[in-house]
Amino acid sequence: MSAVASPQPVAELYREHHGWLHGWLRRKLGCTYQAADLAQDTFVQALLAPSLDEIREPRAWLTTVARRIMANHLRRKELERAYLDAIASHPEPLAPGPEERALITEALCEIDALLAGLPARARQAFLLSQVEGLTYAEIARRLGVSLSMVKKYMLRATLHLAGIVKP
Amino acid sequence: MNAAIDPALIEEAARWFVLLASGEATADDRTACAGWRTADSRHEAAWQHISAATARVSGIPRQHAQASVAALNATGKDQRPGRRRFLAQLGILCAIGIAARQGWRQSDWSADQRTAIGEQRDLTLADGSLLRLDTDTAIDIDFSASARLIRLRRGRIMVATAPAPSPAATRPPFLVETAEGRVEALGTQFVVRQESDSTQVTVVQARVAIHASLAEGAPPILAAGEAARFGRQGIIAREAARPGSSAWIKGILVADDMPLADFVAELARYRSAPLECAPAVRQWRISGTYPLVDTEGALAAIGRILPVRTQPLHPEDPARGTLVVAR
Repeated sequence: MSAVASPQPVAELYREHHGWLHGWLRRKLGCTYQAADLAQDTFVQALLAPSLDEIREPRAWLTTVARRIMANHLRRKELERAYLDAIASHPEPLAPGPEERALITEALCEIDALLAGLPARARQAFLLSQVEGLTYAEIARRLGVSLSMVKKYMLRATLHLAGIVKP
Repeated sequence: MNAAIDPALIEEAARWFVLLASGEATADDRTACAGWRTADSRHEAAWQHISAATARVSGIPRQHAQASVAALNATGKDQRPGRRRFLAQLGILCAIGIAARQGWRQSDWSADQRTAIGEQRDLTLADGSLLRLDTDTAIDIDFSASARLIRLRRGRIMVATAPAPSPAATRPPFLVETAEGRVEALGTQFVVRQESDSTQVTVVQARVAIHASLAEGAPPILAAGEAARFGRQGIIAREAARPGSSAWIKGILVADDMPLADFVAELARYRSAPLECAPAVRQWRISGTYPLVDTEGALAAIGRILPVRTQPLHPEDPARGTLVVAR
């Protein structure tokens, strides 16, 4: 048995369920173009799935994957909007072009995912140190915690990024 | 992900990282960390793992820093853990997808990497190559399908290109661009330094080709152990690399019968306030090994070898620089 599904079942899955999935996504998102994009992404995931043969309920499986992709899509939008809000309230407004904006949004999504699962304080401390370049003393003041707490947060976040999860 | 590295060492490397990231690390801290890294190649591997793991977060350009932190914090509060875990997995999938599709994708997004005076920093590039930025160095990283290009705006970098994923794989050329031309890696480790009116290249391993911007004909090839200085027209001087000329990578300055003026100029690059050498002692010679991370210590050490001492450059304000004079 091969590790990657043969194209045949995916083609079948696509033929039988694409129209239905597109409709389902369109109702959720209220936009036919976005729905088409996300339906496409869902079938790309199906191509990457290791064991397509074992899917008993194709529509349940597709909606599970599509829900995840939709969550990611909305998260991306959310981050982009928060970023644009932040630069709008900046004293010297930056005006990144569309390409730069896409790169920033992508980097924010990636960082957001890399830091996912960290407690909010550890995440904030690490971002203030590594992105804004604040000293630990400044971070301690900003977060209203002790210096030794900042060091604990930093270690926790560094280990998290290094792939070592501490309880 | 990195089965070869002992998690206990990764944790130790993480503690060093946290110590040096405080914004208030001392020269002693940096020396101690450099000592830990060089003590064992597994330590260095663990350190590289930490550097690579944190690089994506610290790679946000300065001008976007505040808004990025605001955006990430504004949206980071109301997530359920399950969704976050999922996003992490999806992030990894996306990263793999992007890497597979485009191959070279660090692009101008991570451009404008720079080090402060007295700082050295390591970067891992999108293709796995390593860069060490020396004190007061600025580079742009521009990876595309046609070239892996590093623009050296000022300072000095050591490049260790990553081996190709397979012998048959063809990859875009790896180039370091300076004001005078381009240095092309031919599977290699080398050092490029932008000086005021020329570029200095030292080859540590394998070979490099030198493409001076106005030179014609086949580019000269430098082999391991060779050094050259070139201008826009071509090579100005070519010689065997001086022993210890790459020791700065380990935070050390190796002098072998070096004029004191050159020695002082090297140390000055690691100090924010000016450091100068009095004319009377410029031609004196110095040998030995000195710490770059602790220039005060280095100056004290030469005072024990040569009859020199330091005094303020401006007696009315000692903070405005230091002068090395005869004792």
